[in-house]
Amino acid sequence: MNALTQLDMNAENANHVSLSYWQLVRRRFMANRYGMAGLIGCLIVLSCTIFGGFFAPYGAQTKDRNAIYSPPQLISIISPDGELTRPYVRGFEEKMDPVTFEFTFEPSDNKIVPLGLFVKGEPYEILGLTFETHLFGSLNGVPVHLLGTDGLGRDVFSRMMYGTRITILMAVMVMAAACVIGTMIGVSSGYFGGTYDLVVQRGVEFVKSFPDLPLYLALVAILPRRADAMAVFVMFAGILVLLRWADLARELRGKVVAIKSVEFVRAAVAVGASDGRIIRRHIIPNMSSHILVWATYTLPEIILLESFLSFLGVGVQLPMVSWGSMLNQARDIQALTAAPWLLAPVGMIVISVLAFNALGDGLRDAMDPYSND
Amino acid sequence: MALLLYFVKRILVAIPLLIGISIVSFGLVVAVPGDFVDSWMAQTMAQTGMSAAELKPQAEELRQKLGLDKSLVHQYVLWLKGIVFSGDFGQSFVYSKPVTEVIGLRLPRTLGLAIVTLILGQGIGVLLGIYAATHQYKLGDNLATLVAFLGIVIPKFVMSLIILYLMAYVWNSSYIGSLYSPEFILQEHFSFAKLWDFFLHVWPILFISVWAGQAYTTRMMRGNLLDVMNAQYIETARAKGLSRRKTLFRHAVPNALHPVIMNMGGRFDYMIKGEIEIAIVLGIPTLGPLILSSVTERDMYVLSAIFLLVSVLLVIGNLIADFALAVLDPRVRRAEFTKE
Repeated sequence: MNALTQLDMNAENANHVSLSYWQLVRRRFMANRYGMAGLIGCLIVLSCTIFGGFFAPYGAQTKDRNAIYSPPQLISIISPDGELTRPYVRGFEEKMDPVTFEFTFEPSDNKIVPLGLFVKGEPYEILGLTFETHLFGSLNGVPVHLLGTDGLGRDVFSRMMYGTRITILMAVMVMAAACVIGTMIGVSSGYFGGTYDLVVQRGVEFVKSFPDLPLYLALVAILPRRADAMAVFVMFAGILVLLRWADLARELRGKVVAIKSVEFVRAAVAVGASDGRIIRRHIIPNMSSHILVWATYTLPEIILLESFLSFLGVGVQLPMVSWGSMLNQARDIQALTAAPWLLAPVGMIVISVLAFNALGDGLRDAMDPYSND
Repeated sequence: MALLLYFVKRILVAIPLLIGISIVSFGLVVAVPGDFVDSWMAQTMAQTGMSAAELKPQAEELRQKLGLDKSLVHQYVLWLKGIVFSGDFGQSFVYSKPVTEVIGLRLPRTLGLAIVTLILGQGIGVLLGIYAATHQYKLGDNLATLVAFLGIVIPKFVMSLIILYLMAYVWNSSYIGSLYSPEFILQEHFSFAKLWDFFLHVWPILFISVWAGQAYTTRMMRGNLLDVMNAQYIETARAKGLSRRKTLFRHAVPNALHPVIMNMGGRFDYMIKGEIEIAIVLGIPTLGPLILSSVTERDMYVLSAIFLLVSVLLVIGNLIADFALAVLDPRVRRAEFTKE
């Protein structure tokens, strides 16, 4: 805080430019270490969303029939004879237990798989363009599975990267739709008041009185069974939006009612500004920080909800992969014991939820730059 | 008197809400293509080898008997009448039993577990919140914040999976996926051994729900209490010579508790949701697994009955929370009158 005041003074001495609201918010946010860590985490997760295909060494559906339930591999830079070498992983010696007929995987020093950066591999798409270069891959053609494989020999790490796409896409879609609907309804209801407001508020109360999990499950049950994965995905998102907008609408309505009687809005009315202009130029900009914070807090909630429903197998449908639908394989307790690394997507869920929550906390604190606590 | 009027008004407001909920529940049943008679026909055709044409007259008769040939509004009235006057929620397609029998014992279990976790979670949350606020930025505060944070961040179904894994393969526990051990199932009378056995089966639900549930309360309580402790009347109380402890529990805590009680209704929703989520993963025979199976098998009467009952419970829970607040805080019931 001390450094900040000093910075303020320097800025004033230098050019006497007063900072805009968003500049103040940014400065305050940057000073918050916790919020910045959240921002970095969010950026990492979002970059996985866009460049998932680049980070993943294989495709989401590519099966390696020689590696069913193969365990995670550790990257090492010390060669077996104790010298520093290029990064490599050790391949597995597959053995069968003569008593239980269980396959065991032993890392073997004879099967070294050297790793390289920017290796050519399966083609993938980023924003409609096709590429073949992957961030890393094995140099001698033997597959490398950093986080192991699932029961069909698919690379868990690659699937996790592709799963980020669907999970984040879902969260962002739902959040954006809920924001737009919530803002429109909340602001108009607060601004126009009267019977319209009364009806809308009863509607909001009605929507908020539903128990969300049973309602989501019930609505999922009435989705058509034979629709393709994309259609189910969109309908699923629609169902999640259904209850989400109400909270935002209620919060915004309260704020709009308060701000409506503030001088600058009344001045705008006095000079003859139209309702549309007042809402767009005077009210919404004053709500934007609140909406932004709400959106940041909503994202992790949707990630958790989507993961749970997909985990149950009623959310995202095959062949789409999301973190939740990957965890669906771990529902089978036998599979879970054979391959505990199937829980890897949990790490991504926890990181993203943590990051978005931290970002939300940081933003919330920064949004009020004139307070000095 | 004001209190009584407040109660009556709150109840009157809840009635249109309940009607709305019942319409949505009925909508769930109607929205799925195929009705009870269709599933009856499919079943009979499979069992007896009769053709659809042969069954047609019987099906029409059944439709008439059940009132399925009437208009939607008429059907809704019949359906609602059945529920209100005879507790008849319709027939389960999958179990071929009345829905009430299918839901039967499961609903009270979910409800009981949710209430216990609610009380434990709120209690622990409030205590932790008080502790954290009075030891701000010390080790205890940071620990409490960390525990709270983990509870929010780790999804409950993942915690359940981990506990399931530990129970099955590390502790070799036999208390999985049921409510009682075999020796207690037939025992009708109450005993502490049976209660303990029950606890051994359901503790993961309590543990996970309470952990996740207290997190929010801890955070809220800590924040509120810190705000309240900056208020002038706290300083006044200290200045007039009240001990630190007395100021805290007489003046600060009751005022900071206000939003916590106001939020009880929402927390109740959270606990029911949590119970369902955890029970599905652990396979504990409460509402959770039943909801999931009726979703996958499209047993819409069961699903809509569960939805209706849980919604009604939530409305009642919110009413109770409102009443509690009105009893504790005269401002609430007065504000309700000055508004009009």
